[in-house]
Amino acid sequence: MGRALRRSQLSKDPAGDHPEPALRSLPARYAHRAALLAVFGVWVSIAWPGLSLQFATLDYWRQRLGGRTPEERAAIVDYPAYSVARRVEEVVPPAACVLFLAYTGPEHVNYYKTRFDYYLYPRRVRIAAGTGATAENCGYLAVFRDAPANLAEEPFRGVWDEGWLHHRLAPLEKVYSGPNLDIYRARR
Amino acid sequence: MICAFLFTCVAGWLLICPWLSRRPGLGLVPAIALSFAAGTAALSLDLLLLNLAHIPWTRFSVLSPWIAAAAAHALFGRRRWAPPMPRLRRPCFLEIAALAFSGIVLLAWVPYERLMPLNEWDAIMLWMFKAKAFYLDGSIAPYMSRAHEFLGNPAYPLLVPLYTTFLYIFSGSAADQLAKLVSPCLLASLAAGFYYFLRRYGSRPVAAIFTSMLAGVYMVDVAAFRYAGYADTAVAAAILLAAGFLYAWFYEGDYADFALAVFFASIAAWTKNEGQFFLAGFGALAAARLISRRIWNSSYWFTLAAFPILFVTPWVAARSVYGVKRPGELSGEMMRTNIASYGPTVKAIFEHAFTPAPPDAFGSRVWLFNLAFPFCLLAVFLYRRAGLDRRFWALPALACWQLFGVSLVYVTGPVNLQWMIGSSLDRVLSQIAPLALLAAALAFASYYSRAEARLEIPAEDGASLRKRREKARASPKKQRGKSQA
Repeated sequence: MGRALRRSQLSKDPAGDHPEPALRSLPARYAHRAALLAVFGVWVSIAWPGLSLQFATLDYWRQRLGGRTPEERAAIVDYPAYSVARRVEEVVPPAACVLFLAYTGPEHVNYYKTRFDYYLYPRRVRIAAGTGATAENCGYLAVFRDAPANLAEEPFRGVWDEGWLHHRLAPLEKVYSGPNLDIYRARR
Repeated sequence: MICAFLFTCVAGWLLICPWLSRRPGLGLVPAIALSFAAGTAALSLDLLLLNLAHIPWTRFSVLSPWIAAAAAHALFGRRRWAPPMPRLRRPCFLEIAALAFSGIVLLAWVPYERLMPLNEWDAIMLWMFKAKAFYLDGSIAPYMSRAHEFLGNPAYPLLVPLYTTFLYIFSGSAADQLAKLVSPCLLASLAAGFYYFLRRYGSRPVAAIFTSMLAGVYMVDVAAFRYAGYADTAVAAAILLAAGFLYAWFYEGDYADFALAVFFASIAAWTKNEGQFFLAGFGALAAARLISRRIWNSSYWFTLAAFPILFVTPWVAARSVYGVKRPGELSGEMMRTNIASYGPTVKAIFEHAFTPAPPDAFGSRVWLFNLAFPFCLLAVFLYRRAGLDRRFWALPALACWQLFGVSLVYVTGPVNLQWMIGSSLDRVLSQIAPLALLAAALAFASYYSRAEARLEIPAEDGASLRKRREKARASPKKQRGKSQA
């Protein structure tokens, strides 16, 4: 800050009129520079495990995502939500509502709700873990089965009645069929 | 998109140049970085005001006020709008070391941020989702009317979503991969502001070393690069800039510093709820200083009221117009449970701030905030020895106020305390860590500058030092002899 030295840090002449700076040894004179280097060194040594962890993470994701398009990367990182949302986006018009009957764990329901809201906006998205869910004024119905890895992590805990589902889907028109997604709409 | 970022800097500069251009020691890079932080707030507020006035968002409607402002500055501004020109000098060894470490940090994080798609929870659920919805709807009204359908909190302030909407309007599509750049750019503003304050009150090596140390704080990097699309880096930048300019005003008493401090504190309130708490503490501190110094100049008091009103009132009005409410109600039972766990909450906050994180799967323990908080505590005890006076307390006081705010938010929150601490405490502390480190860095900078000033005194060789010591040892005996006689 470039402040003036305090009077206490200056040696005084006997008369007290002309203060002279105190002479100090060479190491003491450069202690502040050594302190700055020491602080920096300690800081870097503490930061290093975090940095090396980050380099390892970067390496892992580079191997998985390197050389791929942004869509392919999103499909890998956000599997299967991104791919499912893209299929729904192609079939369901922007002003429509879609009800997802999801075979997934209870915590994953919230996860997919946020993902589908984001990817499918402005479509109205309803989602429930079970075959009996209903939603008013929802023209589209999507039957979504989560990836086995996610189900292994958090098993399905709702009510899933295949017989009732067949009965429910019978009057509807199937507009899309894929590995983990079927989309239906009311017949016109 | 690059043009949008450049335009943001221009808009910010137009807004703050009357004060910023005359700041001592301001270089070109800090001027651009501070202008960017100001520009994000200005453009997001621009969009909100246009929306409230029922003017559709187009490139022309959004940009025209700033083009008019630029023309006015050019015609009547007497070149005060011109940014400072850079003065290049050869870096010293310490600056090269700082640059090298910063480079390693950037090599670890920038490619990662560019590689990963938008994926993190709050970005998808909250911040970027609002931005996308506002852009697709061309207004904030449809999203607000449907807010009950979504899991996000519609009551959060809109700086980040509306600034991202501006980027989408500028680029013509909801390009979320590019919008993720906002957080790293705000980290650049944060780091440049940090460097500027240290350069203003310290030497170049100290400024460079401590700025690189800030760049190496793990959780600050996580907030900016992994959680790109969140608002935490924006809050951290606004808090740091407000506190830094407040410190400058405390020491130098220049109105321009005061105006910039209030401006950035108001931006913090327009960014996130934590920023509103910061603005309350900041306002109280600034008002206390004005009263204690008997400053009754109306321009100070007007500034202290005008910027918070400018940034907070439109959002309050919009919330009222669209009937926005906070999701979740705090039940009496949850309140009692949370208050009973206030002590453990404070303990958790201090544990996260002062100790390394628990070991991960590989057994390594990462210090999320490095030694930022311990150094701040050390500075509180040593600031007098570093040559500072009690005005230094402004920075640790604001950091403590924010920590207190965090504990209050957790205790009064409508959700389970443990879940909330686990999911957000590190991010919230990452907003305060730069401020804590700035306090420590300024104390060190003061100590370092005083020591450098003393270097102008010639060094003495070993022989003369021994002679002087012997003389010093002998003189008390002489004194004693005289007194006995």
